[in-house]
Amino acid sequence: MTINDTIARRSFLAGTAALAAGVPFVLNRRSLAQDASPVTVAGLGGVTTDIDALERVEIDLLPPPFVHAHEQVAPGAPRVVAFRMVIEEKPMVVDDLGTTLWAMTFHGSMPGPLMVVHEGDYVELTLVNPATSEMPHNIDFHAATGALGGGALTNVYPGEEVVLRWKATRPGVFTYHCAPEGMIAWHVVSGMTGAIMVLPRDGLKDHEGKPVAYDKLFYVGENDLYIPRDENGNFKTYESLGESYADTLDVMKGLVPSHVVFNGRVGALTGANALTANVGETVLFVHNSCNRDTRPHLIGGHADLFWPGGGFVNPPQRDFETWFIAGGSAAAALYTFLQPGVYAYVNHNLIEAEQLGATAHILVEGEWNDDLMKQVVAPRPIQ
Amino acid sequence: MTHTQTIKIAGAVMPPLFALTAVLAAAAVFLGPTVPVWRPGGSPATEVVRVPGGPLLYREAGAFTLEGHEIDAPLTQTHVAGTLEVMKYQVSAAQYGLCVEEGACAPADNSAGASAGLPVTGVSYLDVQNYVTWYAGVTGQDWRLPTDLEWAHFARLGPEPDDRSAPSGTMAERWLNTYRQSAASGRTPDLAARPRGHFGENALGIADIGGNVWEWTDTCFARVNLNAAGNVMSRLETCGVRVLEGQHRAYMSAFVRDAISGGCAVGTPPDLLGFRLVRDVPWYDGLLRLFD
Repeated sequence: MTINDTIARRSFLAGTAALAAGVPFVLNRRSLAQDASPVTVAGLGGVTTDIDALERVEIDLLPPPFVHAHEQVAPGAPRVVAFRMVIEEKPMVVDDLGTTLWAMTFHGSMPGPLMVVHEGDYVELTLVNPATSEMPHNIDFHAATGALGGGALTNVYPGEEVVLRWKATRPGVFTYHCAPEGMIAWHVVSGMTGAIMVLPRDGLKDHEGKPVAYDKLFYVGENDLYIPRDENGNFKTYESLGESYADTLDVMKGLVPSHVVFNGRVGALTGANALTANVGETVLFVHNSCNRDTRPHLIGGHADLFWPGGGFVNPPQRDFETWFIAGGSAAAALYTFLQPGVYAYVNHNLIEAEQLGATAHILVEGEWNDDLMKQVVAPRPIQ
Repeated sequence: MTHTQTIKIAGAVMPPLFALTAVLAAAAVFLGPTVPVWRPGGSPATEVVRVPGGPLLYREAGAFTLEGHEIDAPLTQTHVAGTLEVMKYQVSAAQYGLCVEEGACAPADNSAGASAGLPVTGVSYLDVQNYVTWYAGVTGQDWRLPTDLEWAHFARLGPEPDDRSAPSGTMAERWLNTYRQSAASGRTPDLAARPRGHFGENALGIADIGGNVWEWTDTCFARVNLNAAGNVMSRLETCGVRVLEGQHRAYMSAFVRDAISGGCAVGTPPDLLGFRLVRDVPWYDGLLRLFD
């Protein structure tokens, strides 16, 4: 790993040097790192906010498909919302065959945990890279403005931590990912991506501007994995993350994933792990796809509302059979279940859904509505 | 003896391997060239277990409905008429390999790196039909796949469980229950074939019943509609789908070699697909016994 490490380190240093010209970044970073007395930050339109005067909340992140407790309508004035994320590099089993990925994760899960704030809040992230890591890491928030989404200010080597604060100015759902120069793709397809949701202060609104709320939120992260195979076609395992790099890169460059999974492994959201809901419940599906385009479809259902591109400022569109999420983004769809039974939530490239893993199941309880559907004649020989 | 664990020849009970040799030798002595003695490629002769016919409680394979509601097939008391010779072990990779060598069988999907002593896996129903034709030609004996009923008879696992003998709950409830039962079984795939005999023998001395290699049967998938009185109102067989037996029953398209990618949209698919053959004990078998 010495070689790769060296390359990464050199790239990192180059990247940092290039950004050093943007002095404000460096100043801000230093101020934060030193936790100096009242810091002021220029907000939109040159308005200065006294950060220390804001209420501060600290959030414990939850692994997917769950999300930390949050309010859909902001309770008051903008706050500083503090998160602490610990990077974990570890082998993770990604299918029922025991295939193992040397994963790199934000906070131990694929995808990284969903963060929720409101427009105008300040996100304060402490990013921790334990000394046991092999790799340097950072984080690029697509929701944030400047410095490579924060990537240039968050490079942490093993044994380091960094604190980044950014203002959530654009409501919507956005991806975040690790972005070490020259190795971004590898870190992303090894698991280092997740989503943040910036809610409008007055909550979500439908196509007519009326408030809408969700009873449940399902957070689905889609990951394309590129696990190398040996000469017999069996998936290889590696002693360390670094050892897996060269082979993995070869597979990656072929652009044919070995797995396309929801929440880190085939079956993470099926069988005993299937999601549950009731007829009449409204569910917000937040779907993150950092690397490849995807096209979620709820078999037997729809998206009542979908915010193309993930932006909540734009009015949602209605009645989708399948909705598009461009690689490098997250998006949200809202649906109220009308019938009980088993639903499949899939990437409707069905090869990826059926053969590569991109399937979740939702078990919905409630009263069947014969008006919506009825089997008039059970299968019988042709009359 | 009702449970034929070993084959009785000349008044002595012998272990199957010796017994088979004795059978073949006896056949050669008494019947001359009409029953060929065959030892393919120098490999050990196929060990068989003789299973007399008899009664059994049986739940037919297929999809049953009672007045339009999906149910499990009714449990019926039935019987197997004749005596069967059943291969003690599933057909091995080595045995199947001979058929491949002679160009009569397609290589199994799992042939790369497969050890000869393991059961052959990664074979479809269609592959098995080619093997049956070839094997019958080589041995001059009418070896074939068992029917599902015959398999149930010699497997001695008891009838399939009765989860849905009567319709209960709404369609959606039954659907959800079926899903949850399957999820709760908690079985994880076990995809490494084990040496033959690894899973032990049943009461009849037949090895590896209910291991991780499911066995093709000759029975076609059937959809059967019953009325309230239990009478068959319609029956439609779909022979492009065949019944597989093992830890649980499965239905699979005849061309599928790998159940993981080939079927079972809901529920746990079979781990590996293999087979064993049976043959009806010929009429002149009784003659041999006259010489006891």
